[in-house]
Amino acid sequence: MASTPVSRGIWSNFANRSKSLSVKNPSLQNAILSPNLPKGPSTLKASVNKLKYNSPIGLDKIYPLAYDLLEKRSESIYNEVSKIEEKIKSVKDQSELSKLNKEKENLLIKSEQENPEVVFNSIFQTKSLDRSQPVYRHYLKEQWKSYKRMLTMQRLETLAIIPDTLPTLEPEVDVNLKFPHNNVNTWIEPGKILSSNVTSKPPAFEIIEFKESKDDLYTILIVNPDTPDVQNNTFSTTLHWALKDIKLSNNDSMVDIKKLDENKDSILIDYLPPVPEKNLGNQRFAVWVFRQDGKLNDSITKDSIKRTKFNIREFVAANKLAPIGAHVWRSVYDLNTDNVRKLYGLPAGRIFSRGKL
Amino acid sequence: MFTVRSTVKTITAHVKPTQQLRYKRDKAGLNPQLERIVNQLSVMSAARKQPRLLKLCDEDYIKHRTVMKAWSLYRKNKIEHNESLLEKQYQSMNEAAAELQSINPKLYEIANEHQFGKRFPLEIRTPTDFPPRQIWFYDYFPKVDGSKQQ
Repeated sequence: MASTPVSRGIWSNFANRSKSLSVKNPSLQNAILSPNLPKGPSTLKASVNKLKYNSPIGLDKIYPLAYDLLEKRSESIYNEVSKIEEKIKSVKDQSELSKLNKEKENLLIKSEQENPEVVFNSIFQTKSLDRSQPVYRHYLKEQWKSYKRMLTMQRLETLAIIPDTLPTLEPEVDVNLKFPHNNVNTWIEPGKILSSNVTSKPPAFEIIEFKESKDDLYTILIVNPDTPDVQNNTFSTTLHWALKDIKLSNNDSMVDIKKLDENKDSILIDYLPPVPEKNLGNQRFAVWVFRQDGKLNDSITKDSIKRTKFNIREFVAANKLAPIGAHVWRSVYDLNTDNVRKLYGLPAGRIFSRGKL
Repeated sequence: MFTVRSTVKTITAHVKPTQQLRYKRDKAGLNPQLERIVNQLSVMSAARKQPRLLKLCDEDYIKHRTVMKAWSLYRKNKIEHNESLLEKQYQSMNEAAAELQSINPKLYEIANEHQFGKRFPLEIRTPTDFPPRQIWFYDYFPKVDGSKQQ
């Protein structure tokens, strides 16, 4: 008995829907939109596995029915969305409008959440998702919440970045960090101890927003709260890098040299590489990402900010910055530290001893 | 305690040995064929005895997920539909009671009077969605008051 073909309703109609809601690879798309696998299991690599693979019995009969049921539900949700869109046109009250927009986004997520093509993309193609689509943002957020957010918060708390730099953090964005020391794309895990060779050049960030964002402005600060202050027998905070007014959107989330080269005004303070003193142990380097509610005040320039004894809490309060994400790495004195000092023209390092000075 | 030996013994209690053994009580242990099976099973590791994990290719995994989601949605809709029916039933009962109260308060009072000593009959059949296979017990005799069984 031949199984019925999969229906081609709203999920195959791209007049009002983005093309990114479909699977790019045509043979994979064909496999997902057919009751059986017409060209065999194309995601299995080895030909031996392909030959001996059998689909579960009865799946080809039940799948078109399931697809149809979910698609019909999605269609009714899309009708609700169009009703809300009509409402948005007439409403002028700002709070009401934001409420309606939120509702619309939730409905858009709900309508595409069970689309097999979307599910396939958000499980197996996470690196090339179109983040302007609410449903993909939803899936990415779920993924982030299930592991990375917890990991970051744990590292921030155990390394006492919270509260040594800022009182607390309610993470809203996923902050990824990498250094251009080699051509291997390795994102740094929060809290890792990095060598001075790795950190000798400024890092690149990826800031993934889970809400809709278009040309939002961000500030990024890198501070070291472990600079020794021998006179007062304590530690002070040093500002290692400050970036302001960085424009990011959902699909344009990288902050790298290319972006900073294009708008040089965004570099508030140049990058100072970590050069820890000998015998002083690990030093923490906290990366803080803030969302701005407009352009930063013009009075804040390179000269108005002091690198040493930097008060990050005061700076954040004065500029009305909202902390939305953070990252941390650690550095320690190694054989290359003196070379980095020479490279940046920094004075020779001190050597600390066990006794009090 | 469940051991391989005891389970096999209970499962295959009805199986008679193909080879008759003289002077041997069959209650004493397992017959030689079963003994062999038990030995083979005890040598095998626990992982080999588990049913094999279903390996799906990515496309089929997505299809499987879709089917599971549709099934849960179907069941959820059904339950919600039933609940809404019950809700409506309760509402109309409430409305009828309110109407009775407005038309004839005395009748309403009688209808809602507490009936002392009247207990829920334990012999009543549990209410079900469908009638039973046997509609009526013709040989049924109610228990006599004061009998020992009560």
